[in-house]
Order: sequence, then structure tokens, then C-alpha cells
Amino acid sequence: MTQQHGFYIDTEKCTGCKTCELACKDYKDLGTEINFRRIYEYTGGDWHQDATGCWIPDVFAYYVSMACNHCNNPACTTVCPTGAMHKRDDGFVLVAEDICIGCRHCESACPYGAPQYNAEKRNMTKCDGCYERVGEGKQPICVESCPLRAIDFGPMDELTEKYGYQRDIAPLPPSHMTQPNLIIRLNPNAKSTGSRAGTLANPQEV
Amino acid sequence: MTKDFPLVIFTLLQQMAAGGFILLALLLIKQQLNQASSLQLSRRLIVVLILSGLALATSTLHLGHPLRGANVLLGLGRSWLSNEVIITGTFFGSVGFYWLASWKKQEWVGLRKLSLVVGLLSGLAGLAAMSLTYMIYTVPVWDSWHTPAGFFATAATAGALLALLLVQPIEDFYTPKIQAGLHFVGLLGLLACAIVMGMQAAHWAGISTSVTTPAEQFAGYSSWMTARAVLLLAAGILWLATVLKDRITPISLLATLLLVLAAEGAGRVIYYSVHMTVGL
Ligand code: SF4
Ligand code: SF4
Ligand code: SF4
Repeated sequence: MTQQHGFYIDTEKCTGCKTCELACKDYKDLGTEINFRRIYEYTGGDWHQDATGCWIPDVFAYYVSMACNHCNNPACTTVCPTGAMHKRDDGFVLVAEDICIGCRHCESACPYGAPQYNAEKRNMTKCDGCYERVGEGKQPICVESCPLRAIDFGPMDELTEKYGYQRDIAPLPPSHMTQPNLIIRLNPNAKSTGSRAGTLANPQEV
Repeated sequence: MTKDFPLVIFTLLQQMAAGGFILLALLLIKQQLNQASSLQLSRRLIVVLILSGLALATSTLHLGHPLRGANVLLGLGRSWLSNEVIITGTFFGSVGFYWLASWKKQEWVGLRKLSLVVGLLSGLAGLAAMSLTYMIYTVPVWDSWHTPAGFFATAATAGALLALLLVQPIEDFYTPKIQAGLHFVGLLGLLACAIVMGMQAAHWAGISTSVTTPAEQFAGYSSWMTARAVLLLAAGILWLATVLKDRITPISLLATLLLVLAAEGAGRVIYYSVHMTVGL
């Protein structure tokens, strides 16, 4: 398998139930502080007056499930002083935990919050795309666990053919920066990248 | 931010050491390295060596696995953090060699001069590499000209005060011309610190993502900014007053240096605390 793989995230279907996050936690045996997959709740709302003079609220909330996007231009590997954070020939971006010195520079650079410092191991950890499962022809645990089928995973050309190539949505960064292997289905309420219309409702959780 | 505190100390001390050494090396390079006054000044460079050594030692405190530190060699050329560490190590090594040879091997004039030049160049290159380490394309608060401008301004200001303190007891070097030159560089640096602070704050005010802004990242933003401005102003007033009234003493220089370090330390705390990326 040498094809670049990526994730498809359907923000229309996702209910923010966090099953994917917990399935990953369980499979990867992560403590409370570390979440390889995180669900960002983007919420906001305003009032507007309709034709009859009635004030109507338009509250919105949608969820973006994010792990690592195994980017084509990864900020994490660019800054890593040891090369522990590396992109493999098959496209997965992994941390060689025995080489990492725990400088946390990759964490400073990644605009998706993917690298997570493990204080016990004293080195960086991150979503590895469940590459071992993928190598056996299986899907990542997070993908299989989703009760809404809101996450898909596969070779990028197949995903693009199926779902298009939308990659930008608030509160994610502009995709041209790291070129994530990610496809988004927009929620009807989706705001564009950089929008200040909403706020992150669960900052403590991510 | 707490995780970055060792880096506040590292960047401050290393910038002061590099700035001081660069200025003193420029003075020494024109002299006979074996005359008594040159040797005297060379031996006082132990202070630069200690500062840079402390800086490097402190920087390892922010590593999870300091014992694997040698792995940074693997990123040489590719990662600016690697380059920074290796260039700063070269600086420390050259200053150390130069200092040791000034005691033990005075007859090695050529080699000593060479280590002086290598120290000077690696001091400068180290400041540049330190800046590039933070100029990450996904981190808009750091990726601007304010980063190198701020680092070089700190180096010039703290470095000039350190250099003045070190040459002060040596008559041949503490000439009116050299004094004037060092005060000029330092005061210019201090002015640059203040200007960069203002322009960087304006730059930060223009940055936002869907989740945050630089000021929202740091609860103490405005109080720390005010504290830094007050400290810079105090340093400037003390420095200018003592120069104009011809009241420069080792104590006045030390007091000015402490004010400058406090101001720039506050600036560095702000710098690390406002960290945010273009995204989450
Ligand atoms: S999402 Fe972040 S950690 Fe993952 S490859 Fe991209 S830049 Fe690196
Ligand atoms: S924490 Fe580890 S993986 Fe991340 S940049 Fe530092 S050495 Fe590389
Ligand atoms: S791909 Fe695997 S490691 Fe990555 S978020 Fe999903 S379950 Fe976790």
C-alpha cells in the first residue's frame, strides 16, 4: 500500500457523540489527557427580524471530528529537530517515539492540534492512522465505531471521487497551508474558515 | 506557557551572551591579542561563557528526554531548531576555546583569532537561527519580521551593557570612543525593543482565527504589556540620565541591565503565551 490515505468527515451527519474519540482512546489505551481524535463544537447564533417584524433567533452548532490529517505539507515534520516526526513513503505521518526528545515543537506547529505530548512517556504521541489495521485491509477504529457513519477513510483519489474535495470549514485552518488529506461534507450551518460568527464551545475538552 | 519558561531564560541569556561577545570580539579583533589589556579582557570572557552555558543547560529543561539530546543532530540542515542548537553549541565551543587559550596557549595567536571570528559569526548566525526556529508558517503570531527584530534588539541592548561591564575596569579598552560606541549601540537597541514591541502588538491585533486571538490566548496580556513598557521606559531613563550626567558606574550599568532583562523577560513571557496557530 503506497497510496496516500485520508479521512472524510461528514459534518452534516455528525451529532458530536464522541464515540470515535472514545473508541480511539480505548484501542490506543490513552489516558484522560490525550485524545488522538477530538470533536470541536462550533456554535453561535444571532437574532434577525423577519418581514412581520418578529425577532427570530438563528442558533447553530455543528461538530468537526479531527485527528491527524497526514498532511502533504506537514508543519510538524518540517520543524521536528530529530526527524522523529516523519512522513512515510505510504503517506502516514508517524512519531518514532524512541527518537523523539519531547521538545514539543511539532505541537506548536500543527494547526490541527494533532500531536499530543504524553507526560508519562515524556515524548510526543499522535494519531497513526491505525496504519497497522489499514495494512491488514481494515478500517481505523474511529471510522468503524461511528454510529452515524459520519467518518470514512481510504485512498484519497477514491475519497475525492466519492465526496468531492471540500477541505475548509471553521474552525479548521486554511487547507492550503499544510494540505491535509481530508475531505469535509459541509453542515448547512457551516461557516467558512476564519469566520468569527461562532465560538469553540468545548475548549477544555479538546 | 509554563512549559516554555525554560525557553524564556534560554533566549534571554543566549541573546545577552551573543550580543556581548559579538561587540567585544569586534573590539579585540583589531588589537594585538597578546598585549596585557587584551589578555585581561579575553579572560573576563568567562562571563560570556558562563551565561551561554547556563542558557544551553536551561534549554534542556524543556525536553522530555534531555538524554536523547544528541538526536537533534539528525535534523541538521532540515530543521531550524536543530540548526539553532548546533550553531549555539559552536558559539559556546569557540568562546570556550578562545577563553582557555588566552590562559594556556597565548602563543597560538592565529588559532585564537580564528576562534574569535568563529565565535562572532556563530553568535550572529545563532541569533538568526533562533529567530527562524519560531518563524513557522502555521504560527502567524511568530512568523513575522518582529521575531528577528526583537531578538537582535535584545541582543544589542543587553549585549552592550554586558560589554560595558566587562571592559569597564580595563583602561586601554574603556576609552571615551569605545564607551560612546557601546552606549550608542545599546541605546539604539533599547529604542528598537520599544518600537518592535509596539509594532508587534499592532501586528497581533490584526490576527484572529475562528477560535481565538493572541490577546485571548493570554489572560495577563495587557498587564504584562504595560509592565514591559514601564520597565523599558525605566531602563531608558536611567541609562540616558547616567550617560548625560556622566554618572556611569558599574552599579548603574548593572541596574540598567537588570531593568532591561526584566523588560525583555516580560516580553518573552508574552511572546510564548500568545502562541496560536492558523487553526485549532
Ligand atoms: S495534521 Fe498536524 S500532525 Fe498531522 S500531518 Fe498535518 S501538520 Fe502534522
Ligand atoms: S516533540 Fe518529538 S516529534 Fe515533536 S518536534 Fe520534538 S522531537 Fe520531533
Ligand atoms: S485513525 Fe486510529 S489512531 Fe487515528 S484517530 Fe482514528 S482510531 Fe485514533
